[in-house]
Amino acid sequence: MISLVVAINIIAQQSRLDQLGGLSYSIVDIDSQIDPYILGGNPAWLINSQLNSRLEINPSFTNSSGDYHRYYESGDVSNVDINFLGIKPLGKNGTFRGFAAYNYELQKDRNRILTLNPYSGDAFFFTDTTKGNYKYSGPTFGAMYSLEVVNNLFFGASINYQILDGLKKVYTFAETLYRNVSGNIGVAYQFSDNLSFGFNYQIFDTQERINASDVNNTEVQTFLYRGETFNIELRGTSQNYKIKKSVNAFCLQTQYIPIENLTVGLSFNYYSQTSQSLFPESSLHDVEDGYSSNDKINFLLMARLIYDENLIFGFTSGYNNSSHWSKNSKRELTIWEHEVSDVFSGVGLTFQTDDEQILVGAEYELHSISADSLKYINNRFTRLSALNHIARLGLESNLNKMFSLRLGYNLIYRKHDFIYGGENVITHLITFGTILKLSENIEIEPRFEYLTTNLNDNNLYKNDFGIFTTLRFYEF
Amino acid sequence: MKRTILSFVLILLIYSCHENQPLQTDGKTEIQIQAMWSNPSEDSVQSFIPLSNAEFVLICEYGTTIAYADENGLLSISDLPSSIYQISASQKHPADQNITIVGSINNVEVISGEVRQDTIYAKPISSSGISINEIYAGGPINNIYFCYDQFIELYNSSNEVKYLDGMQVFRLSQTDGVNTPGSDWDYDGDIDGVTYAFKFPGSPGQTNYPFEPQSFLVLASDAYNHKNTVSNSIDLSHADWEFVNQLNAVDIDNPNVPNLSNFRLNKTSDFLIRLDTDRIIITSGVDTVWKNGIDIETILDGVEYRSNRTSIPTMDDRIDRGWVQSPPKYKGKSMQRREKGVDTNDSTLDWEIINTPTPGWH
Repeated sequence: MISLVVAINIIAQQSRLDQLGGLSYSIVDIDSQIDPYILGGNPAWLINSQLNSRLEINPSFTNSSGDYHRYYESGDVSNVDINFLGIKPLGKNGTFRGFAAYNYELQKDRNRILTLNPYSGDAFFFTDTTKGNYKYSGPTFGAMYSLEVVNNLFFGASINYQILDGLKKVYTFAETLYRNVSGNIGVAYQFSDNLSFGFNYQIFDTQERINASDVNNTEVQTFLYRGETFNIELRGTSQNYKIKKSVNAFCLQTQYIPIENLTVGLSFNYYSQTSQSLFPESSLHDVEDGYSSNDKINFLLMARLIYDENLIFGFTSGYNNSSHWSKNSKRELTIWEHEVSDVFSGVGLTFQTDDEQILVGAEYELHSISADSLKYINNRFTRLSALNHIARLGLESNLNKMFSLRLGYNLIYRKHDFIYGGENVITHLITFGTILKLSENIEIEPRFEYLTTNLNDNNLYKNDFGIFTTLRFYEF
Repeated sequence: MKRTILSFVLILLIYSCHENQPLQTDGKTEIQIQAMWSNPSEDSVQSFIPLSNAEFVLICEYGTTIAYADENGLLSISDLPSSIYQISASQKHPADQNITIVGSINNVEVISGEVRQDTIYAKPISSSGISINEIYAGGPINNIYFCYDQFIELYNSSNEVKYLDGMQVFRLSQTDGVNTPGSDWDYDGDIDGVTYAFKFPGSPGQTNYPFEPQSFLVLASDAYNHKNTVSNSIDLSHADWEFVNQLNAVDIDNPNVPNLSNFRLNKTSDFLIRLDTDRIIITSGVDTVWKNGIDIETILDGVEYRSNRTSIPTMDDRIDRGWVQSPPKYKGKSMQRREKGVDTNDSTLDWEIINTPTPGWH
């Protein structure tokens, strides 16, 4: 779970915070505001959260390599991405946010699996017999709009559409068509300058269709695993498989300013996901082989105290719970069941010199994670709990009005890695970036990240690096 | 207020779309099966004794499991997934290693949480004669669609010399648009769907072509060293017999290998079989008219192999109650009886996939 958070931070384009090692709740930044838009993704609050126009062009390249990965994962993944983000306040007509991206990912020597995200928690794995390169590419488009409907009542909505084409470059030459559509509708009400509430409802609809048909027109041999060991063999001149996922999410947020310079945010999210493992029988009819359900609850408390012009304190605490089960639909039997809970707290501060030339920030989080895994069909039952630690450091040096240097460092220690299964896992993340203000309206923020993960108990490792650039225009 | 109620109803509607988690869990199946057999040589009154240390073969949609019974012939195996199982038990006869004691039960549906207890009553399968022992149809590993090194292996499991004179070999894959190949289309005691019909020289009853006891015969589609074409294929230049269609001038004919010849005279093809799904039968040759079906009583052995686990086999139950899971095409794998000569007329249990073809040996 912690790894997931780190991974998201690496990928996300919130360039200044990322340059500072991912500092978030103890630093003031446009991307770390404690409000319904940042906390819960409520589109209604966009109009209050993003007050300035900006257009960002964000090209990036990332690579992850090493032998510390799971059975069906590649040990060498490269990703090239370019995205365009535009935010335009329209005065009384609201605020518009547009997003477009194109992504190309190459997963080298991926082992057998034919689905995009094999470790989503579902008990079903669709494989063939070979290890080979798999590439995915495609665009994403998104639009968000926010409007003050009546005094202090805000409405917002967003829609995202993503398509990916996938191709395995060796037998069975499987082709993937992945489509993800999501919608988000929200309202927010500002009771006073000190108190605001928000509610938004999100829906995601994802479909992944895989067709394996050998280009040499010979037979293809695929397997559908129910659990880790038991599989059914499927053979024919072509094989089709489909995964449909549907997510409904309800999110509540509040922003409370009890005293001047203290902001408190609360966020509660409930996600309900269903997933179907399907064999297409015709263009209109799919036969359900398996079904999975995943309910998630996220509760987040965040507070920030601007003590004085030099010192800011931050605090966060929260609870995440994910409950997941999968069944064999034909026999109505539960195959897998697992639950993960994460209780966490963190504190942090940033200090800035009077001349605003140096900013130093630090955050520390403690996560108490427990997991119950009941793999009935494999007769494997595990119960684990562990304390994991994250420390973040950030340093910003404003050398002059045009140029700043930023450094970031994370030390993450996991007693148990609940994603990859390692014990005593240590991760170091180093970030280095600058900002060059070319003019009043144009700036460029390049960033380099290096992340290395090692296990104390053996020689397994994983090294990630990323090169990112943000070209930002404040007028367009 | 109306909006609040509407929101609440919306949440309830969305939640009601969820399916409930089944209370029963998979992987809790337990099977307790005892294999028994009757040994008349020990007692004039039939009584059953345990088939000690019998080998059990359990086949379901998840594949094949092999396990061994204890001294009391009892197999207790737990933590299996729920499925429909085909189960066989076998053991060599304590007095004669050439005799195998075999029994099976089919379509045993085992539900998770249940302990399924059953008994297999096994019988000695003595040397019944000639049977199909191996079918190699899928071709070697290649990407040029090479599959011409096919062969069928026969085994004489009896203790006496058999004679091949007039015996026939058929491939059954035809339909009449309604009925399936290998079934009795007219309910008149014969099976239909002949595609190819080849025969050994001579007539039934003659004794010119002996088949020695406990020995193998390899019937090659082409008795040729196929390694000359594809290096990882099979050298069949020393096969015992070769299918040669005398109506096809370009069919390979190795002069050193005797021929089975075509007697379906409107066919000019060599005896080639489908790579992953087909039916083969051998007959005594007494029924010489194939057009009206092959009389069941003349059939010595028949095997159906297929790639798809879920489709229904079409061969008549009187010939074979099961079917053989074929290996994938162009993988160089073959299909063979688990034990030479052991034919319970249930190919699902009798056969297995082997990684390398074994023409002329087991």
